[in-house]
Amino acid sequence: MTPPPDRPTSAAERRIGPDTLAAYLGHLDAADRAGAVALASGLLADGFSVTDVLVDLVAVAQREVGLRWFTGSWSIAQEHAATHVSEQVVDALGATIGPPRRGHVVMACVEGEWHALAARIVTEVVRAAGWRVTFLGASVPARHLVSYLHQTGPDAVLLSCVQPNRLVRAARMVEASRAAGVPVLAGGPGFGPDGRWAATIGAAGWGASARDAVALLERPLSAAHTGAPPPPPDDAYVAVLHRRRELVRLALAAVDPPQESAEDVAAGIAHLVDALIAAVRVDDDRLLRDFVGWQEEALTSRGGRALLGEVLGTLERALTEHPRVVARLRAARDGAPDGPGRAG
Amino acid sequence: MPADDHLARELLDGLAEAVVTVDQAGVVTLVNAMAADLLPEVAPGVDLAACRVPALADAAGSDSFETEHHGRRLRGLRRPLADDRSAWYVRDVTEEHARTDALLAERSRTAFLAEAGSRLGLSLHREQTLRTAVTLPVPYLADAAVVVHRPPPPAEDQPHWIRYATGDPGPVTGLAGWPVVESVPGLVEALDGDLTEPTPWLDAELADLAEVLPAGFGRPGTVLISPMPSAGGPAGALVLARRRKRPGFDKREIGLAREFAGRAGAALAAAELYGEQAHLARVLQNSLLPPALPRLSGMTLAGGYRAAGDSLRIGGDFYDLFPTGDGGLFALGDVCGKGVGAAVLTGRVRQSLQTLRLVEQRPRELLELLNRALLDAPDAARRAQFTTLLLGALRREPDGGLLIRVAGGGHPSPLVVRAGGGVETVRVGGMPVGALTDARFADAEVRLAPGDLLLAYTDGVTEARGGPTEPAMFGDARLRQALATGAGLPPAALVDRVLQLVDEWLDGQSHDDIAMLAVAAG
Repeated sequence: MTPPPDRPTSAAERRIGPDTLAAYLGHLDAADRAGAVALASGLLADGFSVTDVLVDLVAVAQREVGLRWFTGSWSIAQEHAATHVSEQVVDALGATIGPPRRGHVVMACVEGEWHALAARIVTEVVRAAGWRVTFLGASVPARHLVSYLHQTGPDAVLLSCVQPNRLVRAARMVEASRAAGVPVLAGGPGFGPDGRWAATIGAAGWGASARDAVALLERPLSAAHTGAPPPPPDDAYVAVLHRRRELVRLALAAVDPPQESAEDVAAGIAHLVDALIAAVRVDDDRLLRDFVGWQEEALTSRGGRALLGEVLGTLERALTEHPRVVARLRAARDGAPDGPGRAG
Repeated sequence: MPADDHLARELLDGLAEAVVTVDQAGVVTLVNAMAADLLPEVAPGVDLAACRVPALADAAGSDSFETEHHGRRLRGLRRPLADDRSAWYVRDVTEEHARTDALLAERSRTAFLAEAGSRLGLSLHREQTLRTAVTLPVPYLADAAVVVHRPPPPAEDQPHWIRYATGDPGPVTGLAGWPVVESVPGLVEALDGDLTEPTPWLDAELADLAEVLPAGFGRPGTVLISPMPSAGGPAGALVLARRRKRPGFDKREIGLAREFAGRAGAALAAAELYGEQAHLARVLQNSLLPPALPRLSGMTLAGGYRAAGDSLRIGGDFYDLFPTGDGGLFALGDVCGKGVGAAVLTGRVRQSLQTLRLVEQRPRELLELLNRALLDAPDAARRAQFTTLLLGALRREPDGGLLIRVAGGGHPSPLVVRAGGGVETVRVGGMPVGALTDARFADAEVRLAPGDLLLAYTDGVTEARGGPTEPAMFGDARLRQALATGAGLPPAALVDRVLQLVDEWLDGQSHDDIAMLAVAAG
């Protein structure tokens, strides 16, 4: 049905379409800050809300940016520059939000996570819903978070974790927040498909998007999600965690990469070991299996598939006294019917 | 079986259990002495189904009952006898029952206090502790709990209240004002810390309390006011209110309320003390954290800062930027030492620069002046603290470039990242500031074309020890490589990238203070 020409369709009936997205990506590609901000402001003037623009344009565009970097069509410098432009768009949109009228929440990225744009978007969307939000920044050390919580006593912590290999650190931050009497709402794909690992590490809820975060905050927060978190289901967790560095060293020695790629390979192995520890922490083989499938692509370009099999095999031999952990490694090595790929 | 009826009767009357037998029609045929004692209404010839012991009358169809009768707790069991007759055996379980009740009450009391102890111990934040203190007693001890408290200075000395009642979605707060507080008997005394026993008030002159109770609460049945004592004086008063239909507070509950109020008071006092210290620290921290950089035309600036591991996030590294007529003047330095001690000297260096730049804006001359000023400070020699420092005068050029004159005091040389990807060192040299009266300083000049960038950094970047295997330093080579691959990035993105790489390199290991300042032409 075509609206009469003198009455434009209201924003509520429209969505930000692919043409707008393409135009916005064009501005990102050209690192054109002014153009990107003007486009976003124009959408506000058209009647779209700050939330619409952030979620349906900026966040969607950022996924595309990540994809372009991952597939190698953009360099890391292009990705950084584009992200920087979107950050300034988030700033500009955030400046239009009115004063808070609800409680105080804190937004933090898990320690080690530097891609803060998604968290910035959540911050502004939650602010637009009336909350006072303090954004603690990318890669927040747990002790900074705790000291901030004791100083300000917020109603909740929003914790972002994008990669599951950082889940062990996320678990520590949840533990620390709960110990300070503040419940944690988890967000991001790092907490697993549908956030299935969020509850295991003691989070009060999980959301995939900024709008989910707003919806989660609508529900009353229970004191049941403070205090000591549920213990790790697999008791091998602490043992494996303590051997982290040693395991990385062993695996690196086993694959013995050429000098020029040694650091990249070592970093990849460290991530894999972290994913293993995280899988033990949440007692779910799927975490490691998915991670290995993903890592397969990343490592393939650096040392070939054989390398991944070698790493997993070395870890198996080093951890023979923990049969359940070995079983997890084997499951990841063999891949599973619903796994993303076979490794080794 | 005793053939002698008399002996049988004697045996029956000697039992500690009451025995009542009934015939086929349900009429009582025999009661023993204990039955006459416990159930005087039941005598031979009485129809049990119509007797004046309701539990027994009602139990006609079943085989057991338990009831309160004449102040005793009775438990009965029916056994069938021959010829369709039956016998009730009734025991007096009053004592046993009281013991079980007491045990259950003690258990729930212990559980409540344990829960209170662990929850009150969680937060060090005053508001949050107050929220916990009013949520915990509802509904276990009362239908509404209110804490009346006086916020610590610098807030005005006005009593505030925070309430949680059954049905409230969360704690509600408000300002009480002295008239309300004075109208509630016992409240002023409790707030003043007079350690009176908490006394329950029965529907007293509590009309004014309505202001702090939920709208539909009605006049409370009983109200119990307990002082919340703490080592530092009274932390507040706990007001527990019960609805009219609920029984009043018994002695045990009064004791429990007092105990709880004491724990809540201690937690509140700890939070207040922490709040005071944290406020002090925050004021100090705010004066010492790197500033938000001003926007200057013709150039783009960005800073990055990570303090060595303490929760105050202040340390010995710093940067600053002062606008000047034709551009700006930046400073980036590293005071020897870590933590608050280093931060205080950092503050002194920044203050001195702030003042001295008003009389001297040429970087090398300014360094010399700063050196004299620092050495001139009282007991400077005893402290023997020194600073490595870069001072840079940024001057806009007509073509959109920047001319930078950098003076150095023993600091790592800044790097220039050309738009095309080349990385050059700007050799400056010089000796540390604040160590020697005759220290020599040096300077150098560098031109940035539009798109070029200058990065000044502290040794926390290159000396970060980590790596995935054997601990090694991040080093110059990795820094240069990170910069080369990030050529052309805006300063903020480049600084973030280096911080990220260093952070990944550290992989959770502790590190020294890290500071970076990047400036790009254009």
